[in-house]
Amino acid sequence: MKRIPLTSGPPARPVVLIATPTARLRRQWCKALETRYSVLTVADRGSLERSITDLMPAVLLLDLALHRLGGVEGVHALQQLSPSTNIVLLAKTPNAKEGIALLKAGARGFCNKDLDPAILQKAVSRVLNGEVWVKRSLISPLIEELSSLTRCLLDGSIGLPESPLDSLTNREREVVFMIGDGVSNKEIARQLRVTERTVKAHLMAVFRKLDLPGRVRLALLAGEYDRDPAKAYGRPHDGG
Amino acid sequence: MPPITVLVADQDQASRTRCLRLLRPEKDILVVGEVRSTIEAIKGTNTLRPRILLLAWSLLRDNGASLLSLFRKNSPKTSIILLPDRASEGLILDAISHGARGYLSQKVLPDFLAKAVRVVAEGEAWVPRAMVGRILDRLTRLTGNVS
Repeated sequence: MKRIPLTSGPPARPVVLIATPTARLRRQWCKALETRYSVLTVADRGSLERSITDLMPAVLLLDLALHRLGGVEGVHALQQLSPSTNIVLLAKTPNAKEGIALLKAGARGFCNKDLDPAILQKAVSRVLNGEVWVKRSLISPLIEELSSLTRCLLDGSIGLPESPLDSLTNREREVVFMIGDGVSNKEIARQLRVTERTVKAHLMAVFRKLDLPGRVRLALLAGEYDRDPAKAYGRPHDGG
Repeated sequence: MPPITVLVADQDQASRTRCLRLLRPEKDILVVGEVRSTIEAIKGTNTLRPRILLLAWSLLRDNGASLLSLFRKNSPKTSIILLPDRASEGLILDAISHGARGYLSQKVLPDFLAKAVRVVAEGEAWVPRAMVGRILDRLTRLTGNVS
């Protein structure tokens, strides 16, 4: 593994791991990102597996052309090695069907290999922020899949989903919704009249139950669920 | 090429006028009507068969899911773009799950209304980038439950 010297800066800078067999792309992506992140590069599958386990990078930029990557299963296996890593896939000609399958397998981004450095920076920072970054042309097929799946659920032709929040206790759910509103631990503790430590314990339990990497993803999840069931319309498990 | 036909449905006069004003200079877009209630939106869509229905969130109210499926049944070629309101992202996501093809936030409406109309008319979708993660999360959850 070739290590790019890390420029000086606070150690808290997120680690970005770049994996592509193409030297030109390693240089290009590295250059786009090294001012803001601690960047490391690898060129083959073996070093990638070792580094992702050792470093647990915040972001992995993964070239789909990497030798013996093995498509969806391969990406899934890498994610297992470091569950907290946000994987962004780059392909020569991004294909919508493949892209959706990879995103469903856990990837947080899917775009063109030859993207503009400024776009790459934006993509990495958005993904670190808990968002998903895909080529615009992929958004439409994603929505189509969601709406056709929803229709099937309403038809009753496939089973009804459960909310992941169902597994939480009422108090835990309360904390989750407050996180969704952007409330700090301290403020949650004050409002619920408990210690901050108790709030943290609730959060730890929530993270464990929901298997989520962090606060931002939790907030996004919380925002999706309306607290007042009467206000939410057409959610599959309401309509039956 | 025939212009993209648009029906504007919003209770609020100012909001309708704004849409009309924004779309008037666009040569490839033709506003075929404006209505101000849910029932008029249903009638208008049935008779005018617009390519695009610009629909205010407030008109969907409590019957969102059934209304969206009604529009689809009555006029399958009409795509719906939701106009901004104070709706939560979760509810917009519900509407998208039920077949709406686009959503414009208040902030981007003046700059992107015409573009969104064109993009959706071409069969694509138009949603704020920040919503893509939500769409994917919900999709994954639904699929995870099915398999």
